[in-house]
Amino acid sequence: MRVAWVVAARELRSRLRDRSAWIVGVVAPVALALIVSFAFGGRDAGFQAEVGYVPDAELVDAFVANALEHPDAAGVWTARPFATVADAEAALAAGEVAALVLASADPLGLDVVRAARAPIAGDALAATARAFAARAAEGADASASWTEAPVRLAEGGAAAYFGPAMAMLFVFFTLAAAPRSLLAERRHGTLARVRAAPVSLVAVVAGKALAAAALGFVGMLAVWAVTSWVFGVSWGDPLAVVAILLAFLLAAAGIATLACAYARSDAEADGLVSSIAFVLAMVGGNFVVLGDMPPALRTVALATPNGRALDAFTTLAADGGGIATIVAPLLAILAFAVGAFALSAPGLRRWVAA
Amino acid sequence: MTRARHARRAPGLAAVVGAVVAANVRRLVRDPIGMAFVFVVPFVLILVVGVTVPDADAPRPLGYVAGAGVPAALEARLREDPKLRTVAYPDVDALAGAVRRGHVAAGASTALDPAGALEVVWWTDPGRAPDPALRAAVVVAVAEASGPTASTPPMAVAERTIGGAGAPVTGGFARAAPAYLILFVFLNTLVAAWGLPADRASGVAQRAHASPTGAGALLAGEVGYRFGLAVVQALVVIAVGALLFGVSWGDPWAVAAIVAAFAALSAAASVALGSWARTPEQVTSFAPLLGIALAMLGGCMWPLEAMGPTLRAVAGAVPHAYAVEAFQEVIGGGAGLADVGPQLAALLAFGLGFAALAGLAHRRSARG
Repeated sequence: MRVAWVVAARELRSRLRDRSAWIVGVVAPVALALIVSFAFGGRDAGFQAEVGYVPDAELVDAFVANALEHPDAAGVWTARPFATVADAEAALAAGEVAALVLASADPLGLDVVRAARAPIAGDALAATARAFAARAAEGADASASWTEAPVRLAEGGAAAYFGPAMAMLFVFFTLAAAPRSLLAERRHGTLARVRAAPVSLVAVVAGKALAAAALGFVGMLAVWAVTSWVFGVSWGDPLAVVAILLAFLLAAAGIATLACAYARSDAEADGLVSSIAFVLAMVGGNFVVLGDMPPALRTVALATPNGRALDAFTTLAADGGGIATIVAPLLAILAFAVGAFALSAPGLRRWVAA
Repeated sequence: MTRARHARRAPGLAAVVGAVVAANVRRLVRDPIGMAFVFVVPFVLILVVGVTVPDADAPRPLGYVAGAGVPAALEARLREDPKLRTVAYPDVDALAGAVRRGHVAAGASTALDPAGALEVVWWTDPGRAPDPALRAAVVVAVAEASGPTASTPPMAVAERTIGGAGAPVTGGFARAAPAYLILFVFLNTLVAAWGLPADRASGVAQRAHASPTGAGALLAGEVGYRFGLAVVQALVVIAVGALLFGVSWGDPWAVAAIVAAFAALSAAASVALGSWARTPEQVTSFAPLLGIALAMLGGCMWPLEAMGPTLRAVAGAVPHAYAVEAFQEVIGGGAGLADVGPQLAALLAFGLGFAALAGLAHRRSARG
């Protein structure tokens, strides 16, 4: 065990002297967590679009006043008047506005003009126009009153989701350092020299794994601390958060070990871990909130450790419960870890024998 | 005399470029993981996303709570609406929890005020991507369920796309495909930078520079290989999109120009990174980081429209944003080569910037 600690301490010293370890392990996840959280949770976040119109058409003026400039739509739409239809269309073609709403005489109504580069604004403006038309047909007396009820995943919003998501993505790259370092030592012949000493290979592997796991855990804690500080967000009960982070660390270590157990070189190991981390992040919900995924993709996401961990983080942030509320996802993540380590065993045995 | 003999023996630019490209291709073919990352990973991800991402007009999940006395016709109307996938909840607490956890995109709870008028409470999470179209669909449903008044004439709503011949692109994958193309082309080409420090570590680069071949020709060969790699990857995504998911990519000349401009800037960025990095490990550490970060900022992970003005302004400094916008114009707006001139000019400017960086870094690494 002492050998493992010595190897871990030596590995940590060497990794901490390497600037890229800091950048990949701490700076990158923190920076990306901040970018995404600002993108979806900052003061000016979210969908906002400028819509062009030509005043003095009764229906268009009513639509602008009662739909686009209605208090319910505050912060979403900005209406910009133009003198003529040609001016408005030129502004749309030049990308100055995201869409237009014009008067249509036959049949009487609204003409929504979209731009290919702004499909969301086009969809939203057309839907808003249809809603306006429906409410106009309903008649003012019969129209229902609408009240907004905002409910957030957690105080601080998007950071409660994308903080853990970015921390999880980059932990793969940090963990890959351990098997990569072993493969590099084998290539340079230093591993053979270490094995000539009365030191077991298991202790060397354990030491390197311990160092990589410690760095990975520090990276995740850094994202947790920075997002909590900048956005005032709570990821949930600290004990439960640490439990998910450690379980995910184990699963990621298992997956990195699995990839490296069958890699022939450190470059191959790097490529494999990057590919797996990227695929898991893309389908596991690290870039798209699980709740925004279509049902089929959400099912796929929940079959990955990333999706399970993010589901657990969502439960913690939404319910404010403790570790008891996330037992099922925790066990699922640990099952991934056990499965990955079990699958790597034959490759590792062959590796040790070589 | 010796110099003159060397000058006679020095191979031509095309021969050097061809030899460097061939050597890199042989190395790629011998590396199954590299091949997988270039061809299999994009294919798998595109397949998963293409199969699972719904069309823009696919039903959206809506949570609903019916208040006491609210006509059942409203719930029936919401359930029948093809734009909605309505899930009923027993009370507003359950509905708020479902919205908070993201199980539904938004929620509507209804009640009748003392005068018998309908009150709708609209539940959304401001931390998630807003969905004005979902709300509008519910407004329409509520209005229709209440029944039109005979005195109000019907109002038509028409839609058209400016400069475009066709209908707006509604297919989920058709909207996502250009973003994936840009993401993978840049990321994988950037990762291909690892060969440059590997060549320096093995002494191959130094031997090549000691030969009569010019440094410029060697640099052109490295850029040429990565340009070819980027173009092949783009063609894979275009073929998968067209053959498996029926994506109509639009004017082929415009598509070719966008692919060529983006592939060129990706190749230049890759050579710049590879020349700057001291070890292959530095490349494999930084390339995914840069590739993912620029894709996030450039609108490949989420549409730029869904972001606020600050991040949209930041996207102006990221080449991905111009490439995605150009593809949107060509696919959704029926734009031709001339129409995407501004975006192509921006891509070329980025390409020249990366090429200048690549030249400087390559000269420094060749000296070192």
